[in-house]
Amino acid sequence: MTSTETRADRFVRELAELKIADPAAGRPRLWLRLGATLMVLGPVLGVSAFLISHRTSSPLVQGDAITIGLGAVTVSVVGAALFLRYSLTGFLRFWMARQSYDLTHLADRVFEKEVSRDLTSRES
Amino acid sequence: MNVLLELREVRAAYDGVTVLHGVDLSVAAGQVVALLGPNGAGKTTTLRVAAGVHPVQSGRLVLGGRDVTGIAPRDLARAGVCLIPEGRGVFPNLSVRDNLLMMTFTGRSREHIEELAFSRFPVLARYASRAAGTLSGGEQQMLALARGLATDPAVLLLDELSMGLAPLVVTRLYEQVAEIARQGVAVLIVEQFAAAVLGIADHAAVLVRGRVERQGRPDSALRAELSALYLGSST
Repeated sequence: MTSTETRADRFVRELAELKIADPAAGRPRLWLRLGATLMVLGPVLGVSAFLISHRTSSPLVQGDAITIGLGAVTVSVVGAALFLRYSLTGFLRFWMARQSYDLTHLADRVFEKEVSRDLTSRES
Repeated sequence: MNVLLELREVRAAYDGVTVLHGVDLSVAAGQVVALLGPNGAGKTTTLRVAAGVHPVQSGRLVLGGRDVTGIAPRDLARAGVCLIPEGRGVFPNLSVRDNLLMMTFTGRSREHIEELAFSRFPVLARYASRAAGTLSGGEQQMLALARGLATDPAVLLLDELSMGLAPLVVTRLYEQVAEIARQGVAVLIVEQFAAAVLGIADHAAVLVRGRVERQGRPDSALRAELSALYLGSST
């Protein structure tokens, strides 16, 4: 993609290739995937550190294993935080839309009831 | 001319009843096309077909030179087709700011979307914390337009923008639409009330009973024909 490409050109190009870029596949999606990867990587590193420390009696190597283990905890925590942050954003957005829709629907129903009650009382 | 949206011989139906009988229409980048006609002519259905929301019986929907008939509306929206439906489609219980926040699904930041919306429609910045349902019709339409613009559309489809609005507000909104088109967006507007939209349209098509009866530049001949259509006699 060139910097001089207009929106219309990009539209034509993307449709010609039929590779329609998912707008959500920008930075938020990248962070979400990174978070998930780190959450998996953390336990893997932790188990590796455990195995390394058990297969040696050298305090130096065990020291390295402890460092890897601490790194694994950090990676897991950071990964979980990223994953939660970006998955919750998506969830809350749709939850908010749903709430809004439900409230509007409820308000319409209440309003309809009020109007019909009003009309009935006037007739009687 | 860089044609972004084309309908070729499109036929569409509701429950087996055909409402579009071979509609041909095209909109180029930077062009405003007005689709006019009386109630029940099939204008909204044409827009829904263009957005991929309504299936076609036969014919082709071509976007950017590519046949995209049958492609999911979600994919067309991602590509840059934006439909602003009749009734505006804003969340009435959410504040203006939250309505704009919902558009961050496009991958743009909240700040960017707000800047885009508030610079074009300063009145929205004033009422940023107010529930969208408490805004006037014109302001709600501005919010709907701002939400549409947040998707970075290449093709903008507007359904009855003027519905329930004062003439002055309609004129202002159409000025904004013309400005959007000048930035290279292809705009297709469906309108029942022709006067305002013909002021900004580069091209107009008159739809009657599911057929494009006439199209061309919105000159006096077309206006006269529209008058005849609406009033039953030539003026």
